[in-house]
Amino acid sequence: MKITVLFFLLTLSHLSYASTKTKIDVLKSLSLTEGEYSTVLDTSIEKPEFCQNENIDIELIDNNGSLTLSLGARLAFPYLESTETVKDSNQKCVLKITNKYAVHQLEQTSVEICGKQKKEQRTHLFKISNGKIDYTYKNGSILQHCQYNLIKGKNI
Amino acid sequence: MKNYLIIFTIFLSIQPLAQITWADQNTQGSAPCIDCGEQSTTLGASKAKQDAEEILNKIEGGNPFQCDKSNNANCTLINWLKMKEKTYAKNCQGFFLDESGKLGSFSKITTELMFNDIRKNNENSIFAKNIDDFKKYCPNYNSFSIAQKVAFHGWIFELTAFPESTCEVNIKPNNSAPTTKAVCMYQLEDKPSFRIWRSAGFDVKHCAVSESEILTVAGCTSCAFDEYKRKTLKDGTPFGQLDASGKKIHGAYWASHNPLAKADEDCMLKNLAINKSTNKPLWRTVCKNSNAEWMPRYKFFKRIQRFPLCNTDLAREELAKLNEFSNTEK
Repeated sequence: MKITVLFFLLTLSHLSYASTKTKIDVLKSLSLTEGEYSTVLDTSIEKPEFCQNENIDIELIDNNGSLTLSLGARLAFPYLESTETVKDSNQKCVLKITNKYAVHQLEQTSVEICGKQKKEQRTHLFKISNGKIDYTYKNGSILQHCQYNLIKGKNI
Repeated sequence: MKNYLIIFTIFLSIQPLAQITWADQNTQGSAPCIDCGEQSTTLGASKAKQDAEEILNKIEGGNPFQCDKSNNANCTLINWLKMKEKTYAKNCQGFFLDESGKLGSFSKITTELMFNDIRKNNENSIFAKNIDDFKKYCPNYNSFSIAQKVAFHGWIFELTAFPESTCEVNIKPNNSAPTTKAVCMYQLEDKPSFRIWRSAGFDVKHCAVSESEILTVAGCTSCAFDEYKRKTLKDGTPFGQLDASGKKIHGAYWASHNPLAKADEDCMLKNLAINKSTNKPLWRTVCKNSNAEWMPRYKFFKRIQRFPLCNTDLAREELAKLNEFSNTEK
């Protein structure tokens, strides 16, 4: 009987690990509807280069159930379907990505773990409200920020 | 015991679904296929496909590109590519033709990728069809032959790699990007997780290659090829969508593909003199928010116009240089 329970738990844990959120779930959490958005960067604030000066597209790309949010051509945040994903990074290291969802908000943390050593942790926070996306990036003492005004339309 | 067997059977049947590997993802992408070869095939073998097969055979056989005197434009192009190999920055010579007319190590990969795309997608390939937006930088583009179009795209690949890495294959990783490190000649994401989306919709996902493969010239160039293709299919050009007035309205991955705002460009051009105390140009301190990417961003769209068949003032300058170079060589 104990073996039965163990197999059952293993099966459940595998299922929950593999996929917990669909594209629609993620879009709903972020208050975005299916489609393509054009944005204009708020130029009134000083911003790092990766924010980009021109319009950007926001896309949620579904690759066989694995979801990646791309913010323009430079920023991409993978594995949004799970609250936690561990992927082989290379032979020695694994990449651990954790997603925390709240209303109009997503926080993704990624850390590479090589043996017992944790390499730098990067945290990305998106807040979406009142037609704006706030993106904050934190890496140790580095804290950078972009704010985009969403322009509705150009739906695909 | 029967219960154990049932549960064990369920477990085994679920297991393959839960363990999808990168290799599986390469072939099972659920995004709509946008370069599905046969779907876009026109009736019979197209001229584009025939040209592609002929050139791919030539490359495979190690045959050089030689000037056919009945085609002046092709002779000019071949001679210009040979001149560039001798005169361009040392690391980037692999983007041109050697003295005998053979493709360099970088241009061989980009050319094969482009012609394979044409072989598969025929006239629908972005490397074979007309692109009206290119006319802003290269007025003759739509009248180019397919081989000339491919050479023009090859020139853009070179102009992209140059500001990213000065074509240095073993360039040090750049840790300033927020998601992960930028590596290799085209400064792409080191980890496949952060770049595979660039290959979404393509049946061969070049950006899914491993962390070690992206460091190879073939791995890096092939993923750059997917990003170039993704952007062109999405926005009409590798740099992003242009509005009716020709102004680019979407940001692109590579910094050089994003031109400076007019005010920034004006400020930079007014302050080109070198500040003796910092040994840097004045614009680096005078112009607000300036950074090292400004000059490549300013030069990129001018450099494109240097392609010798473009019929621009800058292309004519190149032809004059070629003439001078040919006379010196004689």
